[in-house]
Amino acid sequence: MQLQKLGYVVELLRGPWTCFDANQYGSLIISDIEETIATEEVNKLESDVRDLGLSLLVVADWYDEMSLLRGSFFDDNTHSQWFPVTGGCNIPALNTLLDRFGMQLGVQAFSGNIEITRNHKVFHTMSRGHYAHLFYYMLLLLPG
Amino acid sequence: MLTSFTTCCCCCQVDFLYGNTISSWPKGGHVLRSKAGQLSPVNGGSLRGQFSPTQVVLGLYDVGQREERGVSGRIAVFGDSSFIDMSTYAFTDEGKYESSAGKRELLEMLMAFVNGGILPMVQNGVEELKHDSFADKRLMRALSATETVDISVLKKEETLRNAEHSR
Repeated sequence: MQLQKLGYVVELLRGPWTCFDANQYGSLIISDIEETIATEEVNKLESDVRDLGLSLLVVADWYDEMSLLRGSFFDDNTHSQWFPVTGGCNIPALNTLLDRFGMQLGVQAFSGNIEITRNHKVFHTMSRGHYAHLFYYMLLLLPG
Repeated sequence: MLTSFTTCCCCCQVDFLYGNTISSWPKGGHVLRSKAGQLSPVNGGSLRGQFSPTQVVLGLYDVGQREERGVSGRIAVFGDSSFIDMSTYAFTDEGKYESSAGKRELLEMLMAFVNGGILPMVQNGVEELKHDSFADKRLMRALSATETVDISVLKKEETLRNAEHSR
């Protein structure tokens, strides 16, 4: 809704990343992914970014190994110790994508607040003639 | 064509609620660091050592410009999703959810970069990694080991931590 207020056209992607044509969209917003990412999806996204000009906005969430460990419990039914599969976001999986571009997110969660200052400059002109974006499982933006 | 302009300058606080910071960012990208004391590690951190008081919370990278491929896209990474999470928005008297100015500003800033290549100015704390890439090894795990959490390693760390505390 916030994005629509800003004038973007938003579309949900309800399938894997291999199931959309990046030529039709400007960006993909990856938010809070909890599932693993297939190698085919990573390969396709890398190619979309490098060759087709798709932009990525990656919004992660907490992933803290100590918190995961403390979330484990003994299950009486199976008589085994159960461990959480992931935190609020599957950062190890996300890192397999980010690593293709030399980036990584850390495995320690932090809390607090940061400061943002409103003050922009134009970096360079747009490489594409339309605005478009997409949320992982949530939105795809069409030319507005 | 390189055009530049400045808009109004105002400071907004954005909550960073239980999120992860960036441990590695390539040369030529831009990063925003938190100021000392703004972020603290959840669970008091681990035994991987003392964390830097300033953490990289936001990364911006123009793949096309850095790799001299005109058509390539841009990548923006932020480690906490609460600024787009409606459950953290204030509920107004009109019965609507409204995000704070800081959250709106952050969203606008990120969208402006990924869609228009508009970069926040350097004086706002966003710095360019001109000469070197950024890497904080205390926050990193080797990719081969990150697919599943190594419970035995964590248990050892936890035991050592408890021993430190009891001392």
